[in-house]
Amino acid sequence: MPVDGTTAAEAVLAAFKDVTGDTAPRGLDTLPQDVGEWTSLAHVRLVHAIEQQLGCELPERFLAVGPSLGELAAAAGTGGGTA
Amino acid sequence: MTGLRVSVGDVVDFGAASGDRNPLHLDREFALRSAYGRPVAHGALATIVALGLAADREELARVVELSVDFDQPVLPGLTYRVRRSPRGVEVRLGELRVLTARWTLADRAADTAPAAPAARGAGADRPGPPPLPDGGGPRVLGLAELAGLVDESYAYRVDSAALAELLSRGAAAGVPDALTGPLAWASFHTGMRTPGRDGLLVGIRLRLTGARERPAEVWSCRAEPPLVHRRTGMVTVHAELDGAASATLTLVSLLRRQVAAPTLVETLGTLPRSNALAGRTVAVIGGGRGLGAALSCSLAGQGARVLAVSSTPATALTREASAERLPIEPLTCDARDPEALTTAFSGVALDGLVLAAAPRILSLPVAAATVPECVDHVADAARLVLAPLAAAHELLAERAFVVFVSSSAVLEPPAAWPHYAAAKAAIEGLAGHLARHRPGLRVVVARPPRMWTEMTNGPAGAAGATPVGVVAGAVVRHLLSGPAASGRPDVLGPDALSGP
Repeated sequence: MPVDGTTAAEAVLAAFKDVTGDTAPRGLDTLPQDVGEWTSLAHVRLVHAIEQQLGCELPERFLAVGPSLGELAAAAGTGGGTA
Repeated sequence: MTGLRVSVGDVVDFGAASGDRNPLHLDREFALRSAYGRPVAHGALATIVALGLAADREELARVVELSVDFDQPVLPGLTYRVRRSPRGVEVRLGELRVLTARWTLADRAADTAPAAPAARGAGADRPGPPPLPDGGGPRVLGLAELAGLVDESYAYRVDSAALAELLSRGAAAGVPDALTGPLAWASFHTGMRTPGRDGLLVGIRLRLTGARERPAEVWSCRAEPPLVHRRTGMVTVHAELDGAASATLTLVSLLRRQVAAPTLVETLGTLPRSNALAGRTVAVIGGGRGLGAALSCSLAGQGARVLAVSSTPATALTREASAERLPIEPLTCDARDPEALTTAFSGVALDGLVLAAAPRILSLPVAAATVPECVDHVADAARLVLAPLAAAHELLAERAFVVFVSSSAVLEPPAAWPHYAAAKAAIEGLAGHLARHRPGLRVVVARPPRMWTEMTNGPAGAAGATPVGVVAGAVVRHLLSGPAASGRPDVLGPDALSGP
């Protein structure tokens, strides 16, 4: 089921803080290169946390490090594909 | 700031004391095939030592909650920085965060030892669950098997005396049994039970619900069926322990995926089978696995006789060559040894040489502690190219080709891979040297995009990675149709190697 965009953004930011231990320095504009702790492992944990919390399934390409938090939130906000 | 350093002996001793005999920690040959290329320390061992270094005995006796996250492996022999924070401790290698432990303290030590109800397990009057059968290795479970597991209860035995002796060597003797026991169990359960052999512990959430005056050797544990997230391979286990304390734990681990061996079929979409290279002989260094194996298949798919050189027997490639009737001859030989290679190539005229062997890539930021490792990596990478080049130099036909496998990391080096970027730049320098001084040779530098191989089998797995067969097909297609020798290397960038 698609989730509200605000809810998705909040959930992504909360998941980021939980995984990395820090607040996203540029909010939803934060990119992996902005945060030293955003490793491939941290990214997989982030995707896991987002999908668990929002009950969505992000597209396969989001499993690799690259997109910003905002892009993750946008994909999660549209349900990512399936619920 | 304090230094944390564990030795290979410490890892062996922790494996014996905790029962976590996962081969990633203890079996050099197994670990060699992992993305780390060597045994790594148990995360729980590093955590216990870090706690002991950063906090005093009284403080640790007041811990009621502990949350540990593992970001990077701890490698025996390296010195890590232990940094105290207001509510925990961080371990870093240079600026790279390796693990974080955060705690919640009770107001007074006595608050951690409420009157224990002891309603269940080893502390109860009735007997606890039976121990696991002795002598078994770690379970080897895939995602489907993990998803089908039921809850399990067993008595866990930790060798407290051996553990205490080990920790005293690392100046971590002040960590109480109420913490070391659950952390050792977390290591055991993850590495031996769930997920087992292919699990990587990435997080521990520990909550102590009551300390007791009991022998600390035996813990009664009850683990719920794991929650398995198929897409990411994350495995979550909720459990209860009862022994020197009562505790609830949540263990988060990652199941490492098995990388499938490349096949000829993978390259056919990029490059149909032909006899374009019939009558040619090509040596592929590092040709037994990963991109090297895919290049071996792809070249043989064009009719070339391929000498696939690898340091250990290339079982999967041999099977593929037999099934597809490919003219591949696997050669087990150390590519670092020019004399061994000279013997292996004796009497062979080479029409091509592919230099695809490379050392494993660890995350090593620029820091004083990593200088020897970084230098060793660059030297090893250069040796894996120079030794075969030296052995083949006189054997290369006048218009032979030589392919140097570099990386797109030369263009966009990851922050923690300065050694890798330097090594690939050095290799490209060798390619330029060869092209200039052997102008009849066709020299190609390939800079593949991220691929999914044993060497790069990270948490993201195959996501966003280009299949090795696609890269191999693109390289060989270029060899068949590209320009003649020009005195400079042809450089194939990631876009050219990502497939049609």
